Amino acid sequence: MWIIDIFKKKKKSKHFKTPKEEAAERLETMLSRRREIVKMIPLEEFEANKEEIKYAVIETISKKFNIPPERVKVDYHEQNGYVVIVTNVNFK
Amino acid sequence: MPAQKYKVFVVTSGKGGVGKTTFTANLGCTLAKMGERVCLIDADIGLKNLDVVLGLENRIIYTSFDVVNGTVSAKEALVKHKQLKNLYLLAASQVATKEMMSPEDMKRIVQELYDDFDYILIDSPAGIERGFRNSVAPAEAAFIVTTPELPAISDADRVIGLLENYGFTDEKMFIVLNKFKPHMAKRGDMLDKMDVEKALAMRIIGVIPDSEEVIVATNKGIPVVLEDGVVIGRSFENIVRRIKGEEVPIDEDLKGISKGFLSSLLSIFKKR
Repeated sequence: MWIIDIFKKKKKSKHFKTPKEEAAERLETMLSRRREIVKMIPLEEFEANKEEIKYAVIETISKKFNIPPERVKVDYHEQNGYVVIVTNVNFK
Repeated sequence: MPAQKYKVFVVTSGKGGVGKTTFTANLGCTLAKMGERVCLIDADIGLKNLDVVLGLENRIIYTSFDVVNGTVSAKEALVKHKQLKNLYLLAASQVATKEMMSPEDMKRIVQELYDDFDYILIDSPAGIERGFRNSVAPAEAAFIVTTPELPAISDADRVIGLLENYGFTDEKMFIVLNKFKPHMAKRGDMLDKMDVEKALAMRIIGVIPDSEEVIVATNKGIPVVLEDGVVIGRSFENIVRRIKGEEVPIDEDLKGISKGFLSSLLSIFKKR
């Protein structure tokens, strides 16, 4: 029986990530946004293309989290002449 | 490699304990061994250590604080290394604080020393406050020292962002991967140089393997590259060659590190 256990354990460990893989994944999450430039869209520019922009946001998020587009709600409001896009994602 | 154009380098990291001071001392010694006139400036005021790593702590009479106060000139405050006659140190004061010096003061000190040296290395303190700003102010290029651990890489990324704000372009920033353990990376227990390069989106100029010899050498007050037959010395020589524009593959830094069965066996007998 113990021989079977050894194989079982080996099979099980394959599902775990190595510390290096885990670190690389965490590092990517930590740094992916850090040095990215935040693009500021003036209100007039947004108003002219708002449906297009909203659709692009929904499409990107739905692809990123692998969920249907109808679960992504996009809202926006104006702040100091620029647009703040608020995204609500329903994962359930 | 365009680093050969630069004379004044800051050695920084963001995170403490990654080996900035040890790197500064050993790179300075390697450059001096190769015949360059080198000046090391300890910018870690209040928590100075560069003199200790170089074994010069008993020879310090004046510090950078005395230069700022006008007691002596920058050249008069320099301490010559015991073995390498073309290596000098401008020590930091232990009683002053980082706020007692300004970026303009550092610029003036470096300006005074500029024509007398081929290389000036400034050892920055950890953090991103005044001490960091003082060290960066006169620098033409930067070595960013990191270890293959998440907190160090994350801080290095933050420092790169700050250096970009100070006008440092990618060509002026060089990543040094310190305390690297090839056997752990091979096992999948540690990030390797490719992961670090990818995360920081910047080329690594040198990989320095983790070594017990560094601790032994620091305890003796002799930078490890001045000891005979140390493997780690090759990494520093390769970094210098890369600074000077030579194309040296990064893998060269780790040659002779991973011990084979036979050499491991031989080392057991050697110890006895």
